[in-house]
Amino acid sequence: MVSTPHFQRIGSRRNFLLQAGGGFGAVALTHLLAAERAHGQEPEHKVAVRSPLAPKAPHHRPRAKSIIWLFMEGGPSHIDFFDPKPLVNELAGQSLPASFKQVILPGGQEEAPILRSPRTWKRYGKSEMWVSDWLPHVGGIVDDISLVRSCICDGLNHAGSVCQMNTGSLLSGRPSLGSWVSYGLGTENESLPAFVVLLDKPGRVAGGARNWGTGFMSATHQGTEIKNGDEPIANLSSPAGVDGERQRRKLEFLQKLNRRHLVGRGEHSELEARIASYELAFRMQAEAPEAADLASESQETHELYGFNDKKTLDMGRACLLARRLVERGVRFVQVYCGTGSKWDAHSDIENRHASLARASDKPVAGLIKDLKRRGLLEETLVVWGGEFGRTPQSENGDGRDHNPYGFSTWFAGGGVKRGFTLGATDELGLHAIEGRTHVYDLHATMLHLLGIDHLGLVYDDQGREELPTINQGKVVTELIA
Amino acid sequence: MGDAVVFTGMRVREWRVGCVVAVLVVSGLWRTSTVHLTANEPTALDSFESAVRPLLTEHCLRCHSDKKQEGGLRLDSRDALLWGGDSGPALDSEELDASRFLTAILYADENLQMPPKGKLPESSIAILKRWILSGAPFSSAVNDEPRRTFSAEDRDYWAFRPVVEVEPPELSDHEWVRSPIDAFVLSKLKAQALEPSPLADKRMLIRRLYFDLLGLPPSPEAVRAFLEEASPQAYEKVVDRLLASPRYGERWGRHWLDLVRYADSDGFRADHIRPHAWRYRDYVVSAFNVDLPYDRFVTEQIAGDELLEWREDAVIATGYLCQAPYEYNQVDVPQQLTAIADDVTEVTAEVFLALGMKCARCHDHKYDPLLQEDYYRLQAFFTPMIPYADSVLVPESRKGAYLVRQEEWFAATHDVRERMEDLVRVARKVEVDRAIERFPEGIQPLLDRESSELSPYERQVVYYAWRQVDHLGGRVERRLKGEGKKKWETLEKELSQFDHLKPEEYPRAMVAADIGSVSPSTPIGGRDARNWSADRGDVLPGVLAVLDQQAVGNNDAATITSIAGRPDSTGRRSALARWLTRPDNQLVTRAMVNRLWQYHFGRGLVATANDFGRQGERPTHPELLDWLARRFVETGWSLKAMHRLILLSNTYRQSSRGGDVELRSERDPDTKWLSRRRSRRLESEGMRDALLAVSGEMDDALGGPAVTEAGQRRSLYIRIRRNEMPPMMDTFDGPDSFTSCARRDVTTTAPQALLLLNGAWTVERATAFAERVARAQDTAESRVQFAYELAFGRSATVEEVDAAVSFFQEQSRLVAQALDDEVATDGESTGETIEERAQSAALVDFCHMLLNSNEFLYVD
Repeated sequence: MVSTPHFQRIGSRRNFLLQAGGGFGAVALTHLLAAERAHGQEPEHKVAVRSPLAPKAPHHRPRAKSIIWLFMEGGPSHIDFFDPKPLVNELAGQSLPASFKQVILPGGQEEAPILRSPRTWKRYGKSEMWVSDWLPHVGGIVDDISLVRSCICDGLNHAGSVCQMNTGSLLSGRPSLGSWVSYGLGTENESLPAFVVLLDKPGRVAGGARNWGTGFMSATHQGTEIKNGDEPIANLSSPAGVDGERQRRKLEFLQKLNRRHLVGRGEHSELEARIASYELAFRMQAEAPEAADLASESQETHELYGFNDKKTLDMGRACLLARRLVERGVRFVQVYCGTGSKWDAHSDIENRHASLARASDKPVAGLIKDLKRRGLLEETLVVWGGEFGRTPQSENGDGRDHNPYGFSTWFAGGGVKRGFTLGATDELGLHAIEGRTHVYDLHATMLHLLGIDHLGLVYDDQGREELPTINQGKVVTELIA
Repeated sequence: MGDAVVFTGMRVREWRVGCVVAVLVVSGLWRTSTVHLTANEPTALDSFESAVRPLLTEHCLRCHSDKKQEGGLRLDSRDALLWGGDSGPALDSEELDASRFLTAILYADENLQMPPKGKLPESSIAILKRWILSGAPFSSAVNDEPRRTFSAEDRDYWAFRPVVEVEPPELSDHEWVRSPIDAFVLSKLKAQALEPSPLADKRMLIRRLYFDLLGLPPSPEAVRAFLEEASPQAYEKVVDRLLASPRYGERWGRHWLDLVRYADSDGFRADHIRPHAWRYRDYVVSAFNVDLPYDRFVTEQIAGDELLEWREDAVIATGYLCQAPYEYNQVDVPQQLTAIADDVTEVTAEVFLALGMKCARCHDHKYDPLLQEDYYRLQAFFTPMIPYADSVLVPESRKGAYLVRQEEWFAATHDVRERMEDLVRVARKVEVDRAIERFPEGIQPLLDRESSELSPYERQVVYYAWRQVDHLGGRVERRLKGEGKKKWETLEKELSQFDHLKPEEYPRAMVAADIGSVSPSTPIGGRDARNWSADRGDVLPGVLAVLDQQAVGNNDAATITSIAGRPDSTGRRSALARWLTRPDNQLVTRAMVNRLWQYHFGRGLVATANDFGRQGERPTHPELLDWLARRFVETGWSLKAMHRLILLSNTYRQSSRGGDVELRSERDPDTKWLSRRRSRRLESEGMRDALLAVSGEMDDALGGPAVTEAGQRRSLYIRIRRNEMPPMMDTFDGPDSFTSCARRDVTTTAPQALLLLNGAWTVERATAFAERVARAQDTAESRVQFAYELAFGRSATVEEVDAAVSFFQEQSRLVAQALDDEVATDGESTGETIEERAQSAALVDFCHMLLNSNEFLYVD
């Protein structure tokens, strides 16, 4: 398919709303007055007007319907998890040999001695993939994953690299990958946002909410943060003291005002869309808390995700919620693990990484297992990775600095090979040397698996044609099953 | 201002950038690349560049050009089409309609269907068919080779043509024509077989004018006065009164801030607050309020520091050049320098020239006649510049005295400061050393050199590096604890006893200045960040190659002269400002009048206000655009004169309703022919401000440091933190403040409804609104009337009053029931009767829904 269906000329949204004609306000109102909840019913009123989030045809046959992206924020050390480097321990205490290409590091300790890695390693599964002692549970699912050991990005610092991992660019202002997916494919459940962001703990991702913003793209496609608790989405609950009946009557009165206002303004269908948006808000108010209600899951499921352990509870909740969301048609779920650059480890990497590994190992493995047994893994692409890796050199004696020159990312489900490893870093894990895979390539591959051609998805930014990977990147076909 | 950093409070080490006094006149004409017309350019090719080439690029060339030749076929030149592929020529020059290219795109033969992924839309097929049938002329080869020459079509592209004097069309005595604008508009309407809509009534007009010019709703008194004034000048008087209101600058200044991506923070991870950014915001507001001629407005923002006569406001205006995001700990300093230079280049092209130059950063523009060299020619004006984050604005005349005074204070306080420093000396050294060691090896030794030993570029690198060191080294005192902290505080008190010796205080602001009188070089493609002293050439400042560079006006830009009294500046930016503000600058004048039009009507005469290039839209009314551009210069670049001109036209006064609705929906659905007024949703600021105005809570103080959104100041003053936009801005399509925003999006989403329906802030406004209504009126009916007047600028009809009153009653009953239950359980009582409480709650509900209604959120 060509890009034309995605090419929104100015005013085109208005145009198709126009085609939907008058009378929508009445449909919306009818639904509003019916107190029933839409969830579980036949969706005759689900997408009454062709909204910008209505499902759109992909470019080619998709291998996955949704993505769950487990974002290890701060940069986990690939050489301590998935990419064992015996030479690191052999050369521990010495400077980087001259044969290795020099790099710039944010901490400036390029000459610092190489830091020993006290990990013990084991080969797991039929694929005999190496995983360190920090991730025993993930070791148990390696036969479901495709590991890329040769990722690269362009940024030295967190904000730039997290931004690039999300938008392709080191500088803010471009849409997040989830926004591109929402724009390209729409959503199958308009009662929930198409692009959801979950944080393992309250905090601020480096660069803030811009990372799931739309930049120049229409805000319709921005990521929505869903939190645990009674109000998973901002402003979801009726104001204090306003019960369901009172809220409904208010809305009924509002829609009467709006319908009266609409008389003689039939040309202006944006007004009708706004009437519809209130109906949608009302439905969201009913459905989102249900989606976020983890208590309805069985105890066995809770345990699978590590609910029974305080240390794994936060990440477990986020992972389980992610599964519930994709199950309900959410297109793109991003789970930040280590929110606020907690994977950063310029010193004391042993303790910092150990606690995060401990907190996330079981929930991540649990998510894969749970998706698999429900048959969801086939249509859900799970991505694990940080914005960069870490250096073989030490920093401040017992830490490691940022390494954008080589690091690991893995994929599971959604059309990728199982138990497969791609690419390699050099003998110290400093530079990716084989199968170098840039962020653009990761993005192109993720889009491809969802049925989107990364060079064919075009957004018209007031005259300038924009593409998700800025005209770059290639699909890593080796990963595709 | 070259030595502005002397005053920036560097605490760690004394260092001075830009104190090299060099008097070197960089002058002379810069050389242009050869530009020649391709001969025999067919003139019938108007649509090739804009219509055909994009289709080929998008649908064909990925498989049929230099990189890949599916079926042995290339489609990137006419010759290639004639040559054809494995199965024969794609173009049959004898029998054009039998060309295989045509057969393929028409999907006429099931064995030959292109593009393979699916048939093109009919509209695209039609374009390609016309093109083939006209012989498939290429105006130039479609390929990736850099394009160093321009076709006649390029040079004659509408945006590059000079602005011409146009006479308004003569229309046979049409009474609708009140101003020449109307004549232009009406003749286009007639050409489309459309009629204008009826004129709006006075209520519609006054609400429109208030929101358009002030961003606020009219008060019921203002509406009444306007309705009662029978004079034919009533409308004109309101226009003049509103243009004279200080609220006008707040509203229209915000439009400008959108364009320059104004923010109160740095962006990136730390997203540090820019405590002085607001000075520039206030400058912009005031420029609009005093109707600063646009040519001066441009000049001050581009080169206010180089003006002959030092003026505080003009220097603050260079805050425009300081809006790029900044990363406080980017040790790859050259990378940051490049990012900032690119940012200011691209934004300047968009804001002032309405040209999207981003593509030309890496290669010649694919669609527009913009060369990569042009990009760096434009960048070269800014190459010597540094945006300073915190400068003390000491007037030139007082600088000497200021420095003397400062030295005196330094001397008098030497001992105290030394004792203070003793408390942190060790920690400071550790921080500073660590900060320095973080830089790549190439940078570290520069930090020890004298300024005179550094190249201009190295001085810039050193400035940025020291700014980081200063930041890290400057925060150690904040970490003092216990005894140390106490000692520090005691010494601070001691120090304050010398305050009377301090120099007088001056405002602080973000301002730009050159690094010295000699500019670093500007290589095409940017400097090699790893090896910055490598000679990669130097592009000199100049205008776009497609414009005739030898023309008198365009030479101005290339004639850089040193500025008297500014030995530390290159004068480059002044040269740019001279060119931008030439009365015959077709890009700048058209760009600005088009923006004015867009803000007044919701759509520009060119719909893509930041991009007049081929990827943008064509002007719907090119003659009107030129006519306005001429008037703009004629009136002395007065924005207010242009507002009047536009606002007094009948085109502006059209109703958003009535007339032949069906015909309009068919022929002018997006109102580009101006057959009616387009209703528009309030922008995020307008919405928040209107809520405060209607609830009667607005604090209408003008200007000053940014505030939090919790307060009741106008939204313009809310602190814009790049990474965390205030929820109202974020939800209702506020600009992202990273890129230039030429036009706000209007989205309609469920989170917007949730925010207005359930958000605590909105409910508080509704409550205040209800209290205001209840205080002013006693009966249910009169309360409904008053609420309507406040919220909608009109009185309610009998039916509306009835509907509202019955809503009151039902809602009170419902609330009373709930309260009954509550009292029964809690036994609590608040002095008010249940009935009273229920009635106030019902009134709040009513007011709350008025504030959610389309009539409130949209302006006709």
